[in-house]
Amino acid sequence: MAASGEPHQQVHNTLSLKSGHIAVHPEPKHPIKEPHQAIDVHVEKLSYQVPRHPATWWQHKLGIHSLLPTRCVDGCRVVLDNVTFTVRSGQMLAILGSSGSGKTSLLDVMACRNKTGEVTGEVLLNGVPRTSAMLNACAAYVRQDDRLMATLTVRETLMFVAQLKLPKTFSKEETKARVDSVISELGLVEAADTRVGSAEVRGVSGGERRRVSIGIQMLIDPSEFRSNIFELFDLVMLLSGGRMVYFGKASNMVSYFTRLNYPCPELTNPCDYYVDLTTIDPTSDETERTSKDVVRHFQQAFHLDDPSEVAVNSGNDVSSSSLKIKASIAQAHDVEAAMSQDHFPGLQRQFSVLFRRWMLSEIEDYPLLAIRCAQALAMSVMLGVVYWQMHPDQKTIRDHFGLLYMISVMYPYLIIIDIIESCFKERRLLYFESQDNLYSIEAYYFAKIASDLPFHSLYVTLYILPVYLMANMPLDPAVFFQVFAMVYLSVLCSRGLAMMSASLLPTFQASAFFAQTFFSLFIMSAGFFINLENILSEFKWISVISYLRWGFQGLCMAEIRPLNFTCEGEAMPGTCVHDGGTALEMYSFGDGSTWQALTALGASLVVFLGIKFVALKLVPQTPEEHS
Amino acid sequence: MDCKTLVDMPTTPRTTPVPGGQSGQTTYPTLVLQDINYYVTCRPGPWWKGGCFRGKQVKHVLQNVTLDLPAGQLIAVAGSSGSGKTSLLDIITFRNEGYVTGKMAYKGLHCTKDNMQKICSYVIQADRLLPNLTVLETLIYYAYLKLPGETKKSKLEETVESVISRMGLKGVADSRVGGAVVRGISGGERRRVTIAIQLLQEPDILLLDEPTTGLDSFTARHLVASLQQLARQGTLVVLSLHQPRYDIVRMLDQTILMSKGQVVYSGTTSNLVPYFTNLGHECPSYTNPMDRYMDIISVDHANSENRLNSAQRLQTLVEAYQASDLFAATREKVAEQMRGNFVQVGKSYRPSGPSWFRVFLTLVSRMHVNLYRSPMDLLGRLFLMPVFCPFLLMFLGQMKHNQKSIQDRIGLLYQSGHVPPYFGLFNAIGLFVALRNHFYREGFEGLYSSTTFLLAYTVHIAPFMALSGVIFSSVLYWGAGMNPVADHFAKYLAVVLMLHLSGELLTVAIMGIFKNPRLASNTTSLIFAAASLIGSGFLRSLQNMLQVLKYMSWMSFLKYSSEIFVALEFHNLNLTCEDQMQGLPCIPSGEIFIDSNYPGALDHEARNFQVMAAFTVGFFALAAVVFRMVGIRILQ
Repeated sequence: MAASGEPHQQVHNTLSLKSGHIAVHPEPKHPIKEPHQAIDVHVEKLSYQVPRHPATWWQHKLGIHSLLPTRCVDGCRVVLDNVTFTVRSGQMLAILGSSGSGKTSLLDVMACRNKTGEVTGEVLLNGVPRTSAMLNACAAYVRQDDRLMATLTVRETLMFVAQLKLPKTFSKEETKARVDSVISELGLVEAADTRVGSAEVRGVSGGERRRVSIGIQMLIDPSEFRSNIFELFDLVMLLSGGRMVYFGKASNMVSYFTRLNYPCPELTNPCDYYVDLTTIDPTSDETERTSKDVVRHFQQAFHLDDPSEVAVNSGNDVSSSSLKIKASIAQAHDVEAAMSQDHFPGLQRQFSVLFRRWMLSEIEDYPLLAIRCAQALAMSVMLGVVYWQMHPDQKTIRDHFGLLYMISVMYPYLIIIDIIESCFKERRLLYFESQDNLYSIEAYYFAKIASDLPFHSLYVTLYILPVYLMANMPLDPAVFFQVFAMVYLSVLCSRGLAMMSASLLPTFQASAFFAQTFFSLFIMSAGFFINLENILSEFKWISVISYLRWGFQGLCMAEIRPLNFTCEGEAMPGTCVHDGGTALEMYSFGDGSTWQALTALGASLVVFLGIKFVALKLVPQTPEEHS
Repeated sequence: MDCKTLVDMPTTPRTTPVPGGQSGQTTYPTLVLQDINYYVTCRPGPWWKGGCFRGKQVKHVLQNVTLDLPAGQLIAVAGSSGSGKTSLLDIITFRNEGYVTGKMAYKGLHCTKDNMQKICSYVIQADRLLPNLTVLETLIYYAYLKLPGETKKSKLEETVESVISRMGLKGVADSRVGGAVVRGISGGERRRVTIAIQLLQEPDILLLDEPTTGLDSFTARHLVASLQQLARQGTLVVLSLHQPRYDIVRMLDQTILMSKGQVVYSGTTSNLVPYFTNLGHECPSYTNPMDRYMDIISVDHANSENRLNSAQRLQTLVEAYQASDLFAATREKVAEQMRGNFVQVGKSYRPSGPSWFRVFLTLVSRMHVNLYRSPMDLLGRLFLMPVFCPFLLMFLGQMKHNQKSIQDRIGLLYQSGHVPPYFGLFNAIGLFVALRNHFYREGFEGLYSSTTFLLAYTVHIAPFMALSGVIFSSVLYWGAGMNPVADHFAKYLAVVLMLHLSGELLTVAIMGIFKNPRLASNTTSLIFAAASLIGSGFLRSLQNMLQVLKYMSWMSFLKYSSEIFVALEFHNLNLTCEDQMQGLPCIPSGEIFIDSNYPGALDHEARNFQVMAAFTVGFFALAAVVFRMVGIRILQ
């Protein structure tokens, strides 16, 4: 793809991040309708402090460390201190520094993505203080984290983003062409049809995965990218302890430090060398002291130099640049207006793209799909063999209840942990993609639920059919559909409970514990282990809200009520139960109707999914931190 | 896992001693590799695009690698990912998973898996340490496991101390190692501990796979400086590096550059720039030569034109190297070593390790310390199972004696048989996985056998399980108002304990088969569910099942526990008929229930206890057999 127009006149602000190096890259952007517009970034006296709050181990275990106060209560740590610089459209700035020097924080603050802490100073785009909305429209942020779906191929991954983010006016062919050009631009042609992979699943290499992430950002910002962007950067900023120690042209860095009596040795990469030189070396007290002195020396030397002068030395006429900034304030209003306009796909398209993505990723993960099918089938066949061809006599009365109980809890129990785990895997994706404004929560929520349904139906069918036939349950369509409906809804309720827990609580462990606690309460009050009448009256209400009880009772009513039992195998004379209605009485299931059970199950489902929706809206879906 | 390594030269026994490492001007020994080729098979592509029908692809990971690796110098293998540098180290330590041809010799003897394991230590990328131990404890325990049995405690501590100071860990000796969740020492220090463990035995050869990855520049620099010192003292140190920085490059004595499984350069680091300059690739002054030459030898996949050009350039460079004097000299040296006097490896090459009992005690006490240091895990082990009691008791209260309470009793007995093994499973999934993975690493080094490990684990968990079982049984038994006879309670408790232990041991056995804990957990749950369905009689009356299942139910450990439970609870139980509605049947005593549902349960008690005990022991034996048969797994 050839760069169209003059790059300097186009607007495009990419914060791209490689390990150890960060490039801020004002570049072409917004090819849609408006003429390409230049954006200059000016950062003025930016400082950033975060509170020190060491979370204790139990806070970590419970996952509440992320909920701790964000204000400086017990003092603060200065992360960025008085950072001032200007990058003009068409220039590329690399921010260098060792870990902890503040380079990621600088980008976070510039992109409005800092979670905690206090920011002073200003970030101006063409002289106008930046807002989240402006950034969403004109900036892209490539992060260190990979948050890609492991089972999709590189091309599929990029295709979905393109469909979500390219303007409605793009035809399918144009979308495809755009994705293809990004693939070749990033040198991913060979890997295009390979799965992305993850830590567990074999896929493309780490470097390729990073390039896919960059590709996503290139699509999110639908504009022309300059090729080999990684090799070129005009400006270099060196950070140490949150303060600038150098800002200027890359080619001037060596001479600047040589003037300060620190020349760069032969056969040495000056970036590495000066990053090391400006890092405090904690190996011993001695090295720590000397390195601190060096860092202080650099900080002061830079402070004495007028930053703007360094910028002047760096080449382009900055004095006129500041004028330009003022001049472009007027333009900035246009920028904002342009940005707020909605060119992007609506809810319906988001839904359909997300729906297809979930479906595809589920199908592509065929081993998991096969395992889940096999699991449902195996459980069903196992129950079918154990309850093989039940004859309705006295001995099998308990067996009928046992079978229906097993059917109504076994599969619902098994899927809970599975679903919570996959929810937490997706959380990463959801978190970062919603930060990128790829889609709305509503689209995500409905697409997720809708894409689950076909698989859910498949699993439930595999789970019911074999046991139904093998255990000699009535071959009456009315009974079958009632049984199917009860199990279908019970399993769906379990899914709802698991999904709700996963959205409500911050860690996998906490969610699993939460969901299992509820499940245990529901199972104990289901009316199988403890007769409903004998449940302590204080806790009877739990059995009323237990979807497992209603599922179990509903199944019993559907299957047992029409049965007639022979008196074969009486425990003692006169203890014969003749019909299903009497058997239901023994389990205190005598009164109650199928509709009541169905309604209760439906209500549970609505409550679980409703709470999940509210949780998605209100509870920050921060991904879990991993080792 | 079974690598068919072809080292097919016959070993000729000689008695000539080989000059040792330490003595002054004697040349240090050399590890030589001759014409090593390495092939791995892989099967790519998604299934619905025909991936499973396509034939396996054979990847030629290493191509004709001939190298001499002298001790006393710091040697680095550098290359981008996929260059084969890790495979090279894997092959030297016999950890390869594919097919290898070629020869390898060291100190005049052919390298076999057996003798390399004795003289060679391999530090893999991941640090797998128990997070709750301190650095000193970690090393002391390892010393107990690794050093010969007769080593005195003082000598042992001396060794540990010297290793600690050699790796610069003095300052953090009493700090916890830490891990993903627990805060501990820094990543660089953790890497040092991993290396220190390998140094306890004073290996001849130390291999490190990307030891600097994930470390910041100073930590990396100091780590490599320590390695350089080690090399100077006579150890053969080879490390693989991904992108060495300028300061690290300066410390390397020898550099091997690899790309696509081929050696592009092998020689002194100082000769690197002149060598490539001679071939027309000079290095600009403000450039790290390693960066520069890694770029030149890597294949650029950006587009087909770049790929063609860079692949061609690589081929030219490989051919240039093979034609160089440098390579001729190496080849000569290797050939000479291969012709040399081969000695037979005596069994006493290295003194035997510590006694079995010492290893066993060390393992148990290390597991104890690790658990005590993690309060959450300890509490879980003790109280997770008892916490389940309230769930039952809050609905049940004291059991009634009406007709419907028969159902309650069956439910309670079902839970009594179900909860203990299930929480055994839960504990094993939560706590055993880390220990197992740790064992895989140590087991690979041959520190102790899987049976020793499993026995130590069983002894380690026994007291905690006992305590947990006592609390659970007491609360549930008396809280629910079960048959109030002390003798019955004691028997109930004994069954609960055996069930709890059985559940954990069976899970352990299953975890020997499945690497993935989730898979192991699901499988074991399914086994429990099946055993309960066909054996317990609570869910399905035993008499009504298919004949085959009746036979199979004898294999269910829950059959025996359930019979004991029913006999204990329903014996001498009186039931009232007051709640029963007109026309519904009434059973006045527990005996009738036993006779019609578990005939003979009262008489079988002794047998049932014996079978339960046999099952518990049997599950341990099963775990031991499984771990032995599956062998040591290589964790990535």
